[in-house]
Amino acid sequence: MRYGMVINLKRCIGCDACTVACKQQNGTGPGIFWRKVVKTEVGTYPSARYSFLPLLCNQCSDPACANVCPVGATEKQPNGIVTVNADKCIGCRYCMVACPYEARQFVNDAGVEYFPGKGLTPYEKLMVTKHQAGTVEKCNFCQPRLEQGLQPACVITCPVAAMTFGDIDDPNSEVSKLIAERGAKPLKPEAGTDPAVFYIS
Amino acid sequence: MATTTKIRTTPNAMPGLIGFGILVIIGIAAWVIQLTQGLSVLGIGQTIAWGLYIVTFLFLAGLAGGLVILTSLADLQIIPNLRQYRRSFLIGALAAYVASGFMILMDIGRPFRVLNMILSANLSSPFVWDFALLAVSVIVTATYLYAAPKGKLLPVLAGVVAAAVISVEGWILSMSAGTPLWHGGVTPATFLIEGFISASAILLITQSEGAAVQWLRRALLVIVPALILLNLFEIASISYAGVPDAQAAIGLMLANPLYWFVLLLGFVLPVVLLAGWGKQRQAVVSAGALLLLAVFASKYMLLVSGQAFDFMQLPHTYTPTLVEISGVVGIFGLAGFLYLLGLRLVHPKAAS
Repeated sequence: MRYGMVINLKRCIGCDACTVACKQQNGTGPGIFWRKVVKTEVGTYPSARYSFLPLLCNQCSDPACANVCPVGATEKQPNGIVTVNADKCIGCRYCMVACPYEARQFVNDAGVEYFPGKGLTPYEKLMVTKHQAGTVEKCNFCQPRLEQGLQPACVITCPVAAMTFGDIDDPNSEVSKLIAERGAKPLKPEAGTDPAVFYIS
Repeated sequence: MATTTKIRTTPNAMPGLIGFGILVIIGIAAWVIQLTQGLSVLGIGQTIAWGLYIVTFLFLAGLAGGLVILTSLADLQIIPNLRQYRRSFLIGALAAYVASGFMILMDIGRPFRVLNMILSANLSSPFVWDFALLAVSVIVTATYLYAAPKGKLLPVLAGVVAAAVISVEGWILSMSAGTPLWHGGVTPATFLIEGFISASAILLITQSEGAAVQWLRRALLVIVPALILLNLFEIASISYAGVPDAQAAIGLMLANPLYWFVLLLGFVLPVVLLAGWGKQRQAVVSAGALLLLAVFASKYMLLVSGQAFDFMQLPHTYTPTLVEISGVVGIFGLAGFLYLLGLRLVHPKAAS
């Protein structure tokens, strides 16, 4: 069993609905993005266009972040998800430097409100308890949702169904079929971390 | 039976201790601001996660290791007339090691959890190797300071451990998958050479003449050009065949005027000074000071350039904040304070 994701870049419209859904689901503070859509302009006028690349933790099977973490706060779960134990993390940020996918985010202050001077909203007050200042955090494929049998928030929110989620160890799963049939590829395979996120381009 | 420790005083130590003490207080104030407001008061961000604190840590640990290596070479009778400085060098090394440790403590987001490095150490992390080696090096260096180095075992052991500390600090960078500029064996090798250069520079600045200085002057005339060549080979290799991320980082580094400033004034000029005016005090002192600054600046450029590009190869900038600079000032103050304190506490005969 290894959770994985296929992102169809041909479908992505760069709307950032996944980014917002992630923030809502996980209650991340201002400036913290467990996932994001990187937008770049490619080509030249009159053929210029936007290119979109959703980036998130690649839940690598040989995660560079876990290897370098000095206190073992980053762990690989049996289902393939790489998790961070915030109670152990010392905030050295070595994992941020080591991650080839910019997936890790440092929390400077866990109590920053989205509306400066207005105080924390009730939802922010609830979610702020899930984050610790001075530690590093990242996407965990919405593990609490998975435990309830739900898909990650970003996957179900995408208006163009650009993301497919499932067990990449199961050859009959939709993700495995997409990888096999559509030639989905991981980012930066040369980093040698064996990611579980694949892209159709 | 009650024992009393008599602290030997030297006439000029107190002003230095007070001066360095003031710097330490500035550093403590910076740390208090950090602890109360979070690391957002530093110039680092989500892309450039390591900044001036890590540079200072690497510099001080490299300098400490270099001082131990020089002492070791002196005790092994490779460098002549350097044994007279072994007490100063080893106390300086201990002070720099301790200060570098405090620099790391200031850099981490949860300093009160630092014991996790022992309680739940991940042995595959180069940080843990470094932490362990730093601790071993402090013990070995302290033992080396007090032990009479009649045989070869202790000098060799101290030198090897010091070299290991510097090498592992190179590995911290070179084993990071996310930063291609740091990859490869050049970074640890460069750090070792820089450690030797910075320790030698200290002697050039403080003594400027004598047989040991002349020996180191001649050594630097070989080692500094070798370091320049090593860096040029690395740049050429990456530029020709490196991965795009590393190429972009190299491009950024070469476009930075600081790089050329450091190369020409920090490394080339000292070689010219040491080669042409090696027996003139001012030239030797200037060369030492320039080399010391160049080593620090080189580490800064390597660290920042390596992280400057994001996933889409868009450049990010890093500017140290006043709090950050104050923190570094405090750490250098701590190193100076501990050094002077060490000179007062360690009897010259005990460390001869």
